Amino acid sequence: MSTESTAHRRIVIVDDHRIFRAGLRAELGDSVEVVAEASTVDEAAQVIRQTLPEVVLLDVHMPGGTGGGGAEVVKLCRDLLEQVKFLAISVSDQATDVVSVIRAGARGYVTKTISTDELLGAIDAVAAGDAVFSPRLAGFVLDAFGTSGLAEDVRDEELDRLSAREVEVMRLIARGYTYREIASELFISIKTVETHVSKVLRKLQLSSRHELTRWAEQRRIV
Amino acid sequence: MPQRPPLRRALGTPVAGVCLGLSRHLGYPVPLVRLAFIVLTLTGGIGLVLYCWLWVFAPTEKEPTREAAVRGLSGPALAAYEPRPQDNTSGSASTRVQRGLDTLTSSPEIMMGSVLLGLGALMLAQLLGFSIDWRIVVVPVVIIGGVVLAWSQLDRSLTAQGHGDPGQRNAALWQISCGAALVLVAMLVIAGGLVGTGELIAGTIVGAILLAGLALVLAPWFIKLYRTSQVERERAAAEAERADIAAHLHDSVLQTLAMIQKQKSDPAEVERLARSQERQLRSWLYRQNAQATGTLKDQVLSVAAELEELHSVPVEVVAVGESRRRQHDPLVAATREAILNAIRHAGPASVYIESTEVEDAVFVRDRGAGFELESIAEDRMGVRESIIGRMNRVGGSARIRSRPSGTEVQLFMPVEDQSPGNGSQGAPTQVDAERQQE
Repeated sequence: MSTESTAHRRIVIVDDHRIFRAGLRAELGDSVEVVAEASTVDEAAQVIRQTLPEVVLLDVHMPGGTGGGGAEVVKLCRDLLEQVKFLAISVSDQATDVVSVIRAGARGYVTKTISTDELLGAIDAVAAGDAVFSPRLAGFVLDAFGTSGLAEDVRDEELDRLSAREVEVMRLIARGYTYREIASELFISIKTVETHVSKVLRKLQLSSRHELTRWAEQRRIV
Repeated sequence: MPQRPPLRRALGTPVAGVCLGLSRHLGYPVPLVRLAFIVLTLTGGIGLVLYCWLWVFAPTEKEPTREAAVRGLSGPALAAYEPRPQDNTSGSASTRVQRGLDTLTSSPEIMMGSVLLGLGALMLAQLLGFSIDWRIVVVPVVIIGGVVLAWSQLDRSLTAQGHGDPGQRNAALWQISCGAALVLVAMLVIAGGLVGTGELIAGTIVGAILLAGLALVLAPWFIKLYRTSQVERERAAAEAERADIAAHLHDSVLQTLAMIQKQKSDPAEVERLARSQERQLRSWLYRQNAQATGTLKDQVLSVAAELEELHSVPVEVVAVGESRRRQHDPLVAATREAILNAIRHAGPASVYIESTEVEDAVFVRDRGAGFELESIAEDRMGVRESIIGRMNRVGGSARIRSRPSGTEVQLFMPVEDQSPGNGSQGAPTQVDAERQQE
């Protein structure tokens, strides 16, 4: 991973479990600069406004606010989304949690069991404006949007469906491929893969598809 | 003397489970108790009164009680309802007679039938010249019918309270009002036998006025009673749920944490424990109602969990779509073999299942050094036989891609059922071991 090139990202860790925050801090070590920690929704919003970090590592479930958890934090900081990127990190597998925090504006979703290298890579990717899709999130997306895809890429603007290429990319991510492997598999550049993933993220966030919410409610588990 | 089981109304019986519960409590055979009730009812109605009394005051087996909290942490909150095994099949003559009696007295059809038979006998008697006052026969029957109709609602409102849909509620309301109307009519008929029509009407009006006054006075009390009981019941249910959760945490999570503390010098073992506990807790939290549904996803998940446990290597499963096929055995078996191969030779594996209208596809991916398919000797039955051969035999196909960056086994199973067994003409298998430089 290209962690050395862009060392010392300024990050904020938001999680209501002190043990987990400490563990994460120790795990990340000197590779990043943890400028602040927060444990509730209100505290998180305040801290983020004060410190303006590059990346916020955000738990999905936490007390405070109106009970919206991580998604609420993102919504409270909506005006900062250009500078501050959110990466959701959670133990929850529930589609409702994943979809709600992504739709609120987070740039990626990883599980807490992720390895340190992968997490650092994900932080870098998010800070650079890319989206981070875990295999599981890709699976959610495919499940929600369907696996058929549009016939051609021309109607790319359509928010409710994925293009055939985007489906391909999502499918490969779900199969456990890295961006590099996807690029060589589909004979495209890594940059193009990243573009596709970002587009999918945008669709996931902006799609007015009401089935998306209903789907997430029905499917509480993966 | 052995302790008697508490008096609880049994579940799954034709009326209210009073007889079965009573027989368990007293230790007498059920048919005897039922017969006693029937005889007591026919000879003056005491049996019916007693039955109703017990119906109201004896709780059913599955009602949560406060004992749940007392029972301690490691017991289940609700005593699991298990149908007591009936007399075993190897029946001597006496047990067979007993069982026969049991079925005779427990079936509602037979009850109905005997009532009709009695009616028929009465009619026959009238035809033969005996004069029968129908009022004496019909009125009690109507009363009993009305009471049973209204009362059978008692249990249902207990079990399905809270989340009853309006349709069910309406049905319940209808049932109670019909029962009440039946009883009222029967009462009026009885009263009509005693006094004249004009007096009857006046009496009815006076009675109604009295009842209304009484209701006005007693209503607050009844409402309060209802509310308290509602709160009580909710508290009992919450208590039962809490005890259930505590029991589960005690049995699994606390035990595992204790084990982890003991094994702290062995990171591999700690990881294995933590992971297996995580999986267990997750499945308990999120999949409680989805157990053993037998879908492709569930089957693969359980296979992955089993192998993960066995080899202490993580296996991630991502599933998309619902399979259209009903039978997944060969695909699951081949998947299992592929995961096993990955764990043995390459380490962590990720599994991706995608079900579309036309086929189920499973991809098992690892990040090992890869291998050349040609280099697999004939004696390595694993890949050739258990994966490729197995898929071919049932009309599916398998594909193995091995590269320096890892191996991926791809399994495809079309939805439309091809008759198994014609393995030689089955779908062609593409086996291409590509070695690509990256």
